[in-house]
This record gives sequence, structure tokens and C-alpha cells, in this order.
Amino acid sequence: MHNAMRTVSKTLLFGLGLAGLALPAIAGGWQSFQAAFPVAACMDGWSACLTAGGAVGPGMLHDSAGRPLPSDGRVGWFDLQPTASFSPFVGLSAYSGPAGGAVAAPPVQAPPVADAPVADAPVAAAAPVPAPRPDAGSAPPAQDMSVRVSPAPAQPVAAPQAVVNTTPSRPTPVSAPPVAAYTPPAQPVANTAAAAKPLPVAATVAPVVAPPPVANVAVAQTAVDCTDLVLLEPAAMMGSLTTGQSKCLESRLSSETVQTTRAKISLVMINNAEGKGDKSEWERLVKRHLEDIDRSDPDLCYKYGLQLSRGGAGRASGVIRWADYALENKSKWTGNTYKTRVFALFRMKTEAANKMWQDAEATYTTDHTDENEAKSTKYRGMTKDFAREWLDYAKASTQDTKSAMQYCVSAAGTTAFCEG
Amino acid sequence: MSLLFTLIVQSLLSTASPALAKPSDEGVPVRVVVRDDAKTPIATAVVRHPQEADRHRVNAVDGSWEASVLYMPDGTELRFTAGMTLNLEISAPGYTTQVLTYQVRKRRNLVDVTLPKIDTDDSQIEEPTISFGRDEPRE
Repeated sequence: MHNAMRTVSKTLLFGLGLAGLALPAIAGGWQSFQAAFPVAACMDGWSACLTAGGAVGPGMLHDSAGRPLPSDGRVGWFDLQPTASFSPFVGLSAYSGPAGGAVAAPPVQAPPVADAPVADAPVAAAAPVPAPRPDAGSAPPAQDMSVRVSPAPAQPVAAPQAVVNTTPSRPTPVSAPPVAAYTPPAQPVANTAAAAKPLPVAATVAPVVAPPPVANVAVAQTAVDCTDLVLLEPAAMMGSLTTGQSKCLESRLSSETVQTTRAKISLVMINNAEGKGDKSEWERLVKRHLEDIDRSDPDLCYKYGLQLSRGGAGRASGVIRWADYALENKSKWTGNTYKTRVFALFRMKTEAANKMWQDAEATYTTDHTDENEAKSTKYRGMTKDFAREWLDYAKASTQDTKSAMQYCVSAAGTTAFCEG
Repeated sequence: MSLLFTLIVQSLLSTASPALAKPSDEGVPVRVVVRDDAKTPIATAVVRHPQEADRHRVNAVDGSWEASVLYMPDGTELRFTAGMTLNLEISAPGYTTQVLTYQVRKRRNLVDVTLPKIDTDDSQIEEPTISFGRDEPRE
């Protein structure tokens, strides 16, 4: 009986394993090419815009040799030449529309036409359909814009415009307004009222400009989605995550149970704080990350220690602590990075101990107690040991020994200890 | 009577002899004042002879230290005498240690020592870029 159970369970496990292996293969599709077709290709958060280097849209750009590039790439992959999206210092597009935005726009009424075949006119759905890219072939479907729309609303440069056409079954491109280089092809009417019944279509009808997809924009501004962290990375690097997105990430972080996912969320928030230049927030987030989530990244421990080292003696013990954690994982570094970082970590530790020694000495000179003297002696010993470690490493790695020697001699009181 | 006189003279001589011997036994005082680059006394500075176990703290108010004799770990005394060459290590936390070599004079041995601060410029330290938490495929 037991043997039978074992066989069954082994078979089940084997089957599940096979299914698990197969899943990524099934999931592979257009999602794998998302990075090639960025939804918000422009630096101000819009899908299309005019830059000094030319028009930028979700479709692919091409370099001087005609090789395709993602439109949000700042330099060419092959030739390293600046693309149209090169400059990140682009302000928001000016909004010249009516106050209240697109909500105030009147709904479109399709003009009734007398002599036209009526019965089989196709009608678009009430929600506007993303226009197909002219240069992307069968590109992946556009992603949820809710993540990107939340920055300050600006002029919709190339919003998809619904057009009633003489041949509804085949959308015809409409000539673009002068502001937008990329013009999505026209699509069937996106109007709730018009969608209710079949449209009469005439043989010759002037194109009617429909308002932007009002309902969709409104929903996008209120509903914040932060599930796709990769999509948030560019904004986080620029420090331009919205308050809603930050709150969404914070909420996800508190509810998430998988530690690796928590680490990823936390790193997006850390990068956003750094991009904003908010040092105190950055410190808070990094401290939480290191204390509660993950401290195996030597870069983060190193950087946090370096930040603390710019403070006073009160933060010196933190410097030593996080420098030690970074040194525990120093094997993740290689080559020159290893040499310079390990050297810097020894230096940070020595200087931190020296700060504590100075502080304890200053206290002892004003308050001659045994306790203060013991503290001073302890920190002096730490400085001496750390400086000696630093000096030994500097010698072994053929780096500058001057400062290490100065600290060592200062703490030891004699050159004999340090030169031996 | 003569015995009494002898006793008085002997007792006077015995009390007088240490007073006569004092200047030659005590050593010449040497005074060291430790200051930083801004000529401010360093309250936490210490002075030490290279062969000595103890470190002597300076006066926290004026940064001075004065002595005419030092006691070595083997129990011997090192008295400062005119003409001798004196070696002293002067240090303070956060400052570069200075080794002082001084020839003692008969009087007015006042030595000013300036300790430069140790360079703590961290602008050369490279700051790493924190990457996003991407999964790395196993090799």
C-alpha cells in the first residue's frame, strides 16, 4: 500500500514538474517583446511626441544603418549614437485645451447620410480600441495606461481619434495634425451613443473628429496599478513615481508574502527616492530593506554605510555594522571593483571607530570617570585594529597606505605596531 | 656640651644636604604644547616616550604637558638633562602623530607642536548604483 502511494505521489510530482517546465514556454509570446514597444515612449509620460531629434512613438525607431531600436532608448545599441529620446530634460507638453480637459468635450454625433448601405456597417465597441502601430506590424497589444497616465495631465499630443469612414471595415489613416508626428490610423467610431445602433454610412463623408476617450482617461487617473514592476522602473529611476504609485507599492509591500517580490518592490521605491534626491526617505527605505527584507546585497550595504559615514559619531556604529555585512558578501564583486570597494569599506570602518574614539576622548577630558576612560580605551583599540586591517589590505592590494598608516599610528601611539 | 654641639651641627647638615642636592637630581623641566593647525590647543592629545608604556595626557585647557623625569617599564628613571636628545611621540585621535626629537637646554625648554588633521575626504570613494531586483537565470 505504501509503495503504491509512493509511486502515485512520485508520478504526480513528476507531472507537476513537467507542467512547471512547460508553463514559461506557453507564456512566451508578445509579452517577451514589451520592452521593444514602450507604451510611454516620451520622457514626459506620453505615448507620442515631437522632439528635437524627430517624432517618437510606441513603434520602433531605426538607427543610421536602419536597425530597429526601442523608441525609449536614449542611445543606439549598435552605434551608440543619440536617438530622438536622448535628452531626459524634457518638460511636460503644454496643454492648450479647454479647462476641465477632455471631459468637457461634447460627444460626437455621426452625420446621418441618406444613400448608403446600412445593414452591415460594423460598429466599434464603446471603449476605444488601441490603434495599431503603423511600423510595428503585429505588435503586442498596448498595455494598461493606468500606470503611466498619473503624471500631471498634459496636452494629448497624439490621442487616438475616432473617425467615421466610408469604408468602415478597413480603417484609413487620417492626416496628422501638425503637433504630432505619429498619427495612429483612424478607427471605427468610439462613441457610446453611436455604438447603440448600426451606423448609416455614406459613400462620401467628411471625416469627423471624435473626442479623446474620456472615460478611459478618467478611470486611468484614479485606478493605480503597480503590479508590473519592470514598467515602473524608468519612472522610479527618474524619481517620478506618483504618490498613488508609491502608496500602491507600499501597500503591496506590506501584503506581499514572497520575500523576493518584497525585495523587488522595495528596490523600486529606493530607486525612486534616490531619483528624487530625497536622502532622508532613501535612508528610511534602505534601512527597512536591510533590516526587514534582505541584506545580502553588498552594494546596498556599502552605499548605506557610506551614507551613514557622512554623519557624526552617533552613526558610526551603524557604519561599522553595515560595512561588516558588505564585507561578508564581498565575493560578489570582482576585479577592480572588489579592490576599491573592500579598501573603501576598511576605510569607512576605521574612520567610524576613530570618530567614536574622538568622541569618547572628548567626553573623558571633561568628565574623568572610569566608565568614560574604558570607553575611550575600547574605541581606541577598535581604531587600532581596523586601521591595521586596512593597512594590511592596502599593502596586499598595492593601494595607498598613507591614511591607513596615519590612523594606525595615531591609535597605537607608536609606529612599531603598524610597521611590523 | 661639646657632644650637644656636635649633634646639633650634624642634624643641621643632614637636613641641609638634600636641599643642596635637589637641583642636580631632579632634571630639567621640558614643556610641550600641542595645538592644531588653527593654533587651538588639542585637549585630547597625549605625549609618550617611545620606550614608555604609559601615555601622558596634556592639560585639557591649554594643551600643555610638562615633566623633568620619565619612568621606564624596567623601573629606571629617565631624567632630562641639558644636552640630551629627547624623543617623544605626540598624538591625538583624528590627528597625524608627530615624533618630536628635541635637544634639552639648561632652561626654558618650551616646545610647540602642531598636529595636522588626518585627511578624511571621501569624495574619491565611488558610490555604486543600486540595481532593480531582477531575477537572474541559473547557469
